Amino acid sequence: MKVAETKIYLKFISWFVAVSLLPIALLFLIIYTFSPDSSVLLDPELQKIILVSVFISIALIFILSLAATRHLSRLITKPIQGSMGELSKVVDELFKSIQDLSDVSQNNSELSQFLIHSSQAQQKGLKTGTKVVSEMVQSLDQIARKTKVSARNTKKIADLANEGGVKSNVALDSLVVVKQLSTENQKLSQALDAYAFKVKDIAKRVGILAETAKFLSLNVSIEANKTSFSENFSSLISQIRELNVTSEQAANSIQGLAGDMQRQIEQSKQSSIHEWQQTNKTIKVIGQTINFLSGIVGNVSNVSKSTQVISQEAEETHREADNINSMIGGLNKEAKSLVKYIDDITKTIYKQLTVTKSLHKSSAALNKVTDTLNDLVGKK
Amino acid sequence: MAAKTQKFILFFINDEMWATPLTFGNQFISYDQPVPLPDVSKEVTGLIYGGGHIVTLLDTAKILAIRSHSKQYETCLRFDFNSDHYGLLVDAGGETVKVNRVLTDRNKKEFKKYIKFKNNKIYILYPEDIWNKLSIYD
Repeated sequence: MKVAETKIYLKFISWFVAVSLLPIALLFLIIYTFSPDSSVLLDPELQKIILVSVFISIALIFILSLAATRHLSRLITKPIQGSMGELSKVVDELFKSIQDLSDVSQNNSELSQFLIHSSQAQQKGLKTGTKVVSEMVQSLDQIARKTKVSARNTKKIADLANEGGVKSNVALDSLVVVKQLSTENQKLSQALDAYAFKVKDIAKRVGILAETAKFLSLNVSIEANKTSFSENFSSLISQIRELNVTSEQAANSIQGLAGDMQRQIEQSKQSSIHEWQQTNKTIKVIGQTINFLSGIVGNVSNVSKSTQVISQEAEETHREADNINSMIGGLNKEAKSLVKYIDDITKTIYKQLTVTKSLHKSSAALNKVTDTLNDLVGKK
Repeated sequence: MAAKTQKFILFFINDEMWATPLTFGNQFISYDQPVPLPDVSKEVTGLIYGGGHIVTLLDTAKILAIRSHSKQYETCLRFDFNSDHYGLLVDAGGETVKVNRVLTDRNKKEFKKYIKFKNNKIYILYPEDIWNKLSIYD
């Protein structure tokens, strides 16, 4: 609604009307003042002509006023409208800029919050890192100490293993000698076994001899009783009987002796075999032990080298941990400064936000003014 | 009238002493493996060859109906009967003794005769008693 323009129109129209009617009114006033008795105005024809003229003049004035008003208003409102258009654009741009600024401020605020949180987390992390590095340094110290002790112990183990290897070799040599002795003993046992077998065979033969003597004795006794012989033959029979008894006793003794001998030889043989087997086993075990000890020596040497490497690495790591610790200290300081800067930035951002809000309000107010002006100039 | 002297050969079965009359062919001999005979009574162990003769071995313990402790005999007492040679399986041979009297044990049904030797009763295995017990001649 072009309110302003309408008002202008109305003002102009009322002004023209007043201006146009004022001379007529003055005319009638003069006429009524100076010749109240004049009958000029009483003529109905004249009155009609006057009224028509007045009406026509008013109409003309109205039309002219309208035209003038329109022309004038256009002359006045056109630059204002242009300016308003520019102003509206500026306001829109300003609004957009303020909006962008607001968004940026919002982002800055979020970023600032994030930075604050990150800084705090960083500080915490740095504290934890410092603590961990400190513990790590302590652990490394302990590792270094233990590694040194381990290195010493490893050396001792290596020495002991070497010594054990030498002693095992000596024992192995002794056992080889024992094995040779056992082998000799076994051979001796076998020889004795052969002798015992021969003795047993002899004993068996003696037994057979005794058996024969027994039968001889019995049968001679029978034959002697079948016929009568002299005293000398009876004496001979008695001697044969004695021989039988003696040979039987001798055979029993020899057989018992041979049995005992063979048992003892067998036991000795078994012991010798057992000893030989045990010696063999022991030699095998000692051989394995020597190999094992050699392996231990080799491995202990490797372990010693590894321990030395670990010790060196631990020392280097210790130094690096110190560096890390000092770096963390620096980082801590930097983080504190960063937090301080972030605080400052946050404050600035808050201020920026406040300004943005004020700008927003001003923009809104300007917008309102622009709208009013638009209304005034008759532009949407 | 003077008592007639009789001679007996003593032998042992299960540490028990027995006697058999002395005859011409008596001899203690040893053996290894007798050759078993088919279809003979259980008292006949088998045949052996000894002293140039074939000897039929008789299981004395089975004839006497006593349980022998010996698992395997190695000694037998050879005797001759009707020109045949027999051997009594014994654990061990004993002495040859002379006795004046042969006694009879009336309480026994078989092998009643016995002699006294060193105050011991020694029952006698007469070949006739053996053939009464063992029907070898069908």
